[in-house]
Parts: sequence; C-alpha cells; structure tokens
Amino acid sequence: MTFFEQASIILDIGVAVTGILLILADRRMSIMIILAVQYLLASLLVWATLSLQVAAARLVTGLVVTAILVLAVRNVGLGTRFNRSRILPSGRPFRLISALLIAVAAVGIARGPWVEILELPQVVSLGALVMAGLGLLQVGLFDAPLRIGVGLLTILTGFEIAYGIIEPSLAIIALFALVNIGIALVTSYLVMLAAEKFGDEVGI
Amino acid sequence: MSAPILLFLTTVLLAGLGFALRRRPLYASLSSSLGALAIALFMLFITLDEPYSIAGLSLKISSQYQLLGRSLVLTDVNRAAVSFMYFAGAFAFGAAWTANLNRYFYSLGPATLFLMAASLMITPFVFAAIFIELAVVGAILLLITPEYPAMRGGLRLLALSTIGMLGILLSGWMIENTGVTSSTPQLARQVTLFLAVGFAVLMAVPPFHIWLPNSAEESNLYSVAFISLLMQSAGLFFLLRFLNSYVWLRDNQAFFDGMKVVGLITLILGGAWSISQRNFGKAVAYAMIADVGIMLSALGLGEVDGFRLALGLLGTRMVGVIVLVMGYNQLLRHAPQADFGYDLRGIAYRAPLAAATTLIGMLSLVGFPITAGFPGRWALISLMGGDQLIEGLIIVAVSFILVLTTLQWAYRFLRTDKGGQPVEMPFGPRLLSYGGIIICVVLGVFPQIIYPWVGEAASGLLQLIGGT
Repeated sequence: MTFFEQASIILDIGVAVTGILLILADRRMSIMIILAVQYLLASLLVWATLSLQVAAARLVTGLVVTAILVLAVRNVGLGTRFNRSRILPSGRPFRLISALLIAVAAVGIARGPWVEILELPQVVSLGALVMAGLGLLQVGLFDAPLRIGVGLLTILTGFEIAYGIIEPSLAIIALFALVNIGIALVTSYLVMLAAEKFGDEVGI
Repeated sequence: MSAPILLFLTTVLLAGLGFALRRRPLYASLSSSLGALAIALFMLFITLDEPYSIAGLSLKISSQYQLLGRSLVLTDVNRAAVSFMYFAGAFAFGAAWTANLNRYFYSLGPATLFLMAASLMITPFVFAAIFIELAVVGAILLLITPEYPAMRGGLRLLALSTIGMLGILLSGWMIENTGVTSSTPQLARQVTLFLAVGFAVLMAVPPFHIWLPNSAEESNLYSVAFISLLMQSAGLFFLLRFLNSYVWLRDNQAFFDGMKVVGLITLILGGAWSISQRNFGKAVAYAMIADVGIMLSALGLGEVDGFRLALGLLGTRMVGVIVLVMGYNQLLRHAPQADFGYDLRGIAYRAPLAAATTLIGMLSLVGFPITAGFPGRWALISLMGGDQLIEGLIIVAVSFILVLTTLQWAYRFLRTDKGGQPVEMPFGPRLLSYGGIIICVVLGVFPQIIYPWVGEAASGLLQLIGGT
C-alpha cells in the first residue's frame, strides 16, 4: 500500500468522523469549526488523488463558504444551541445510531459493483459516499436552515471529490465553487431571516 | 461580441434597472417585461456568425462564448427555446406589479431567467443541471422573503434541486464515458434511473413535488408560479436535448412507456390531491402537478407530434397560470387577514373581477373547454386514439375532477356574502384582468395562434423533431 493510499484511508476516516460530528453537534460554533475541518480533510483527500491546485481551489472555496456562514451565524449567537425539532426525532443517541448506520451503508455501497462503473479508486468512492450519505441524513433529520445548508454543502463536497476525478475540468471546479458559495449565501440569508422573524420559535 | 455575452449583459442591465426601480413596482414591472420581450425577439431573429451592417456600422455577432474551456452557444438548436424562456419572463413580469411582490423580484427575476436560459446554451449540455441549480439558489430568495418568511417549501426545493443536479451530472457522465448503447440494457437502466430522478425533481413529479404545495401555501403564489414555470420549462427543454442527443434513449420504447405511466400517475395524484385541499394555493399547486402529468403523457407518446404538443402545453399553461395567480393576488387583498387562501368564502361579492380572473385562469390550467388549456388536452386524447383508450379515459376523468375542483372553489367564492360593498379594481389591474381573461378564451378558441409557434421552440432538435 502506497503512502498516498494509507493517507487516503486516514482521510476517509476523518471525513466520516467530521460528518458524524456535524450531525451530533448542537452548538453553532462547533458546527462551523467541524465544517471547516471537514473542508480541510476533503481538500487533502482531493490532493491525495488529484492535484495540489485542485485541492487548494476546493480548500479556498470551503473556507469562503465557512466564513460566509460564520458571519451570518455570529448575528444570531455563535455559542447558542439549536432548538430541538418538535416533529422529527432528534435525540443524540438516535442521531448517532442513524449516522453510524448511514456510514456503514456507504462503506457497503462503496465496495459494491455499481461503483466500478465509475472507475473510481475505492478510497475516493468511500470518502465521497460517506460524506454524501451523512449530508443526506442531515438534510433529512433537521428542519433548521443552517443544518440543511450544511447538510447540502456536505453532500456537494462528497460529490465533488468523486466528480473531480471523473470530470477534471476547470469549468466544473468553478461552477461547483459558485454553487457552494450560492448555497452558503442563501443559507446565511435564511438564518438571519429566521432569527429576525421567528426568534426561538424554530431551530436556527 | 458574442450572443451569450450580449444576453448576459442585457440581462444584467435589466436586473440593474429592476433594482433601481424597486420602489416603483409598475415601472420596474414594465421595464422588466419590455426588456425581456426585446431580448426574446432579438435572440430569435438575430443573424449569427455573419457580418452585417446597421447604420453604416459593420457588426458580427458570434454564436459562441468560451468559459473556462466550456462553451455557451446560441444556435438554431436552442435559440427558440432561449427566446421562449424570455417570452415567458416577459409575460410574467408584465403582470407582476399587481401581485404585491418583494421589491427585489425585478432584479432577481431576470437573473434567474438568465441562468435558466444559460442552462439551455451550455455545452456539454449536461452541465445545464448546474446552471439550473444556480437559478434555483437565486429563486429561493424570491420564495422566502421578509413578507413571506416561512421556509419549509423553499428549503425542500433547495435540497431536492441539489440532489437532482447530482443525479443528472452523474448520469450525463455515465452516458458519455461508459458506452451506453441499446445493446447494454443493464447499464442503460442504471443511467435512466439517475436521469429519471433528476428530471422528476426539475418537473416536480411526485414524490419530488413536495416543495410546490408547501411554497404555494406559505409564499406569494405569483413567485411560486414564476419559479415553477421556469424550472419546468428548463427541465422539459433539457429532457428534449437529452432525447435529441442519444439515440439509445430515443429508441428505448420502455423509457417512453415509463414516462407515460409516470405522467398518468402524476396526473391522477395531482387531481386527487387538488380536489381535497382546503387551501386555494395548494389546490393550484396540485393542479399544476397534474398538468405536468399531461405534458409527460404527451412526451411518453414518443413521437414528434407528442413532443410538439408537450411544448404547446408548456406555452398555454404559462398563460393560464399567470392569469390565475394575477387574479388570486388581487383576490387576497379582499380576503380577511390575507389568510393564505383558507377562508375565501363570499369573496366574489367583494372582488368579482378578481374572482372571475382567478377562476378562468384555473379553468385554463385544468383544460376546460374554450380556454387555453383545452386544445392541448383534446389533441393529446386524439393522438392517443383508440389504441390507448384507458390512458385517454384517465385524462378525461382527471380533467373532469380538476374542473370540479375549480367549480368547488367557485362555489366557495360565492357561498356566503359576508357583506361589504364590491371594491372596484384600479384601472391597471382591471385592464390586465380583462386582458388575461380574453387571452385565455382567445387561445382556447384559436389554439393555432400559440401551438405551432411554441412547437417551433424544439425545431432545432433535428434528431428528435426531424424524426431521423
């Protein structure tokens, strides 16, 4: 096993852990820090499989996205906790079990035959699927705009890792960067609007 | 100068004008509408890649613009479709000032319009999914505003469109790189599955429709209609381009049969959900979903007439829906506490013209005879003929249910006179209401005004429409 493959496996574990922590975290400040770390790990994974330039572009995009969200969240209080959803189950044990199940399912799919069609290295498909799966879980579990925004950004990051290998073009990197920043801007707007209009009535 | 850049610059100008006039909705609406109309005509008739002179000035407008190694191209394949989007925008902007919209509608609307149009011009066309996603990101700001801050529908749209984009991108890559042909059925099935999910999201096909009724309940119905019409139009053109480009997909009868079945299920669900609603906005949303079912059934015929018919239906639904939401926004001004369409009893006594406009728009949407939506349905049933009797009967039955839904709402509008004098509508909205009613009826009686023209929007798709 080469150094890059070993490093990639560690990075896969890292993105899986950050993905799970994003689902478990309740404080907005923690979410922002975990998101930044996740972007860093995802960029390193891109570096291990693609090139430094692409990884740097992804990292810059990720940090810009995090900065946009931090600026918005600062207005509603970085240290405050989310309100619990009254409709969806949201206890920590439930979230942890769901996240672990999704992570295990993603590992199973990454080893499955259909991923071979895409001709991706297994370390890449593993990291991408775990992130996409955990992002999807986040979108499904929560109803707060920040949570959904972060979930979508996680899905996109996972997808970008895989798609960057099968379609390595500058246009795709730029367009995905635009989508990421667009989602971050909309999420920021919604976070501030929710805080202004609903206060503590909904999870922000 | 290239045509895509010209389109971009003129749209930026339009958006800037809309921003500058944001506190004067009438002027902003007029400038956006006339601007979009001018762009639509310009894109339709402009001579591309050939020098010509205007007032002694020699000009050459190229059809292509390179963007980071990819191209935005305006050709005969897509120019009619791009024009259609701008015509739709012009129609929607024209009546927008009556709808009490957020003041940034006139700057964000053209931007959204451009991104949808850009999705039709990008090459390779599979990247269109990213432009549609960018347009949706902008559209969220039209749906969720300080006046309508509820977020459920908007967030669902954002989540669904992101997932749909990923599905389309993945299927596009698989088509290009894994050698899908008619002789690789298993691979074709996998690709079609991804593709179907992506397009189901764009076209708001159940179960990916959930954002539409939520938004219709909690946002301004005019914005919801604007976004939904643009998204579904872009989705339909995108689907036609897929069919035009890949012979294995075009020749796959199972794909068309599947589309027809999905269309009929969408129609049935839309009809059943629409009649069971207590909220008018949601009833309209489900009627729109049923209308998508009609379009998919037309596409599912898998023949040139079906494709042209689907485009014609796209044009007439735009007319019906805009007239409907224009009337409805006028109606809400007279509703108690503007309760988002739950209690509209007796409203027709206070706002008779607004009620009539709303109901005629709705009748047009559901395909009632002598309205714009009817000829398309009639043509679809005729095309199906005796071979597809069950499908034809389903369309008739659900259309009947949807007409009943409209009559049920008409009954509610007229049921209890809660008192109060009828309030005369101001001149501008009154003029637009009469105009809308007349257009709905005229297009119902003389469908040849719109159907051949809109059908031409796909004329550049030679493999598909040319029937080779």
